[in-house]
Amino acid sequence: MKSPRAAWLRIAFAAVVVALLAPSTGLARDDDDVSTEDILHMVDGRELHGRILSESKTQIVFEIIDLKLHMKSRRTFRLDEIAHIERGVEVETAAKPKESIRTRESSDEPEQPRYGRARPSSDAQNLPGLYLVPMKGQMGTDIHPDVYREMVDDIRRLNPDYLVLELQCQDTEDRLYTRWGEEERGFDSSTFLDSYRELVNLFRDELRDIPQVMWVHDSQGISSVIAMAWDELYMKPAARLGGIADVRKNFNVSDEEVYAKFREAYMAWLKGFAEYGGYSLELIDAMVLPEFTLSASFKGREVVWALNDRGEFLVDDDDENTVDFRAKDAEDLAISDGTVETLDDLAFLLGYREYRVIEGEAEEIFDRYVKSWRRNSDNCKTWWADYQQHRGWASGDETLKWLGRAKIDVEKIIRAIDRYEAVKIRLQTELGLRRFDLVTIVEQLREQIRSLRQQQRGGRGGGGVGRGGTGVGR
Amino acid sequence: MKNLIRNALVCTIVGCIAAAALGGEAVQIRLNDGSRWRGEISDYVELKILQQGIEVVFQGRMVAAAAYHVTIEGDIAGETRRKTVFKNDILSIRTIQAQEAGVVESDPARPNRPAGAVKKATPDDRTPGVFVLPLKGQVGTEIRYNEIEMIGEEADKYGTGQIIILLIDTNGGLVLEEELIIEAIVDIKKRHRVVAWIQKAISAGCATAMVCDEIYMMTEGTAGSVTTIRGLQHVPEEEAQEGIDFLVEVAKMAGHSEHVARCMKLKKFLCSYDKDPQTGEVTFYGDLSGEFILSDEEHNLTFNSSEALHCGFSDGTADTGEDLAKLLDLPRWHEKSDYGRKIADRWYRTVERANDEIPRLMARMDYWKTSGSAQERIGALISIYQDLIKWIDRAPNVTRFRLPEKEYFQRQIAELRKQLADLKKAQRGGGRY
Repeated sequence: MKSPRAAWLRIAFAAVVVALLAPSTGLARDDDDVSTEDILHMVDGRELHGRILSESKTQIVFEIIDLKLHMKSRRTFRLDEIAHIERGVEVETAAKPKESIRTRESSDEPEQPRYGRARPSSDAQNLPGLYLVPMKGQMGTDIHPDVYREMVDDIRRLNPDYLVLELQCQDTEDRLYTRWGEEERGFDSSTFLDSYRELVNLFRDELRDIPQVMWVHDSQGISSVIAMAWDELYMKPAARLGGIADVRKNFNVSDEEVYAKFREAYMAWLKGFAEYGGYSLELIDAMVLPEFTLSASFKGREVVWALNDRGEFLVDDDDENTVDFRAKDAEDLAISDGTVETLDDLAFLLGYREYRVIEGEAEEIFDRYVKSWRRNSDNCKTWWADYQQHRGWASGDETLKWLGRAKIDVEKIIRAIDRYEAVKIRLQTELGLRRFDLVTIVEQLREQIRSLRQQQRGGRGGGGVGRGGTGVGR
Repeated sequence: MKNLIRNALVCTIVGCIAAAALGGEAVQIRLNDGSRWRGEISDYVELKILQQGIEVVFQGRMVAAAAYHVTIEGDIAGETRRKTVFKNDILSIRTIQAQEAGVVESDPARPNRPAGAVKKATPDDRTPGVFVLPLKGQVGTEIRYNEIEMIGEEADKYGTGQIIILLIDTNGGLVLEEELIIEAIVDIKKRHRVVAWIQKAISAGCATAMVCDEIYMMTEGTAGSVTTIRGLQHVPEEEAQEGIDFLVEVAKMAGHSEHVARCMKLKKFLCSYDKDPQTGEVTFYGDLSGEFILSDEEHNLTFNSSEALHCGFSDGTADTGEDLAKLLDLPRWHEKSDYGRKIADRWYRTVERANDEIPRLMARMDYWKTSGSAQERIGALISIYQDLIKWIDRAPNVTRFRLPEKEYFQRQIAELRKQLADLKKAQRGGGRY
């Protein structure tokens, strides 16, 4: 016979288990409608889950709940952005489609082909192999020719059937997608265009024998032009392609002739990328310069673009704004070859019912590079603060000691700059630090240290700190 | 100076015409498909000609060329005979070796050249190939006429008729250097085929490309925006007129439209063209009456590769050496020598070092003007001034707008040496400085 104490323990245990399990059902919410949510089906193909906070005749204030990140954000949408609304949908039902995809990908059980396509294990050598190339983050730093040059050997070694370039760059801050600020805006000056051209040459010329596809997860800013260097382009349903208008700052001068010279040169460089992809050059005009009207006419499957309103379909006649494309528009207007959510879908549209993802080193190379330069960049900011502090402490008996420390701080920054172009770029834009200034500081510190040591040897000792460290802060 | 250059150019053009009229060495044949062959009298060639509606292949040595026909000497029915062929009947033409034409020459390189002037041909030399000179950076600093002259001299060693490729990647630069570069190219064109291969030819870079025999562009290539500016202001039109005339002359000399040249200079000029759908012949207009508008009053003409190809500004689009070899009618991409790449790289590195070291020397100079003991200061400044003089000698293109004249530093050094001598004298005499 069991003791009453054991019975009580079992009851207590059961109570604890129930308490622990309750939140995991996902239904433990405070208010009445905790088990339901509203779903906005946007005209661009996005499906947003959350709650409608308020509605008016023209707009809806919506609280978006990101189930993956457990984050909430509040957005206001115009009604014409919304295709239709589902209200009061049960949370479990709503979450199922996304969950099912994830489960299938991570499950150990054999994959069930969806629409006849599947992604078997990467050792199935007889299947066509896709090599995924990440292009994510900031244009000019994260996305830099250096890191992709490192990948070329791996690509050559594995000889894939297709290169899939996954582009995700957002210049325009969007709280739903990113917490990045101004410092994460992509670089678009002419120097950087040269670097992007090198990047495009690397893939489109050096690796031209391997078929390539650009898969845009989202692109806002100069990355959109770079994406157009690939003739085969697909977009995710929520992806954008545009946000280039800001590049106008690169040729914004008051003299009319000089403006025309700079503008046409800069625009020609941008159009050079579109030439690679075989896109109409008029698209670039309309995406950068608001004064252009853009319309499209359809000749069979071909779209003929014109910078006027005489086409069959008027895309933009707003003199204040430039043209951006959402995934659906891009597909309808034959800028993208299709809208695909998953790699399975993309492979299917590329003509592969079955495929394998080649386990290359691209992701590793890219992640290692991004983490490393960003860590170095953060360290440099710390070292710069250290330098200033140590410089301030350099007086009296400890002058030599702190000048030496200050010199080491700056030398560490120079080493980081020499290793990563990205660090050099970020320090210049964020702190106004140029390599030249840093080298000058080191030289002057060295000279001061030498002079102080000489004085000490001569028995005079001590001594103040001469000037130095000037010429920075631009 | 400009007048001098213009006179030189005019003389060159007149000279070329005279040379052609007198049956000189260089020959250029433009075929019906728009392609061009360049060579010289006495070259061995293989012609594909249309004879009474039938394609006939004929090999031999070119002995004469006139406006409408060429004369070839070769094996006809077992005998060496001369045959006159009308240029219009030529379907294709390529240069071949004497052996291919069944002729054995004592000097296989160029029989009509003095033996001493021709580099002894190696098997590799006989492979048709090119000389590449990268022109990357700013015209006037990284890009100079000196390297262009040097590549011409290098090509001379292999005999006339070599193909020199100027690989252009520049946003432009100094007008003064542009004129010297054009002068150098015009001179080399008398002996060789000079080809511009454009990645980016903006401003002075475009003028450089326009004077070449042929222009090829990379897919992303750009060419144009030749407006002369001073800082962020354009040069007034009356002052710019000389530059416009100069570019028009350059354009005409290389067979480009003067309207194209004008539109690259100032936006007020207009340009459009018609293209014959049958022959592909392009007619340019200085207004907007043509079917295809190149530049209206709002724009400064800058070409992309597709536009340039369509209107004939470029002769083709090539992204790799192999692509270009096909367009140049070469069997494969072969660089006869890496001399051009080496000299360009050497100068590029010198400029890089100068750009790095000169500002550092200037910063050092500022520092030492107020630091150290008098003796230390004087010694350091003398050393810095001497280094700056070395840079003025070594890279005048880099220093000319950044440093005072060499004489200034020499005088400064003399002054400092005098101060040092006085100081030592005072120290020896027990006095104070």
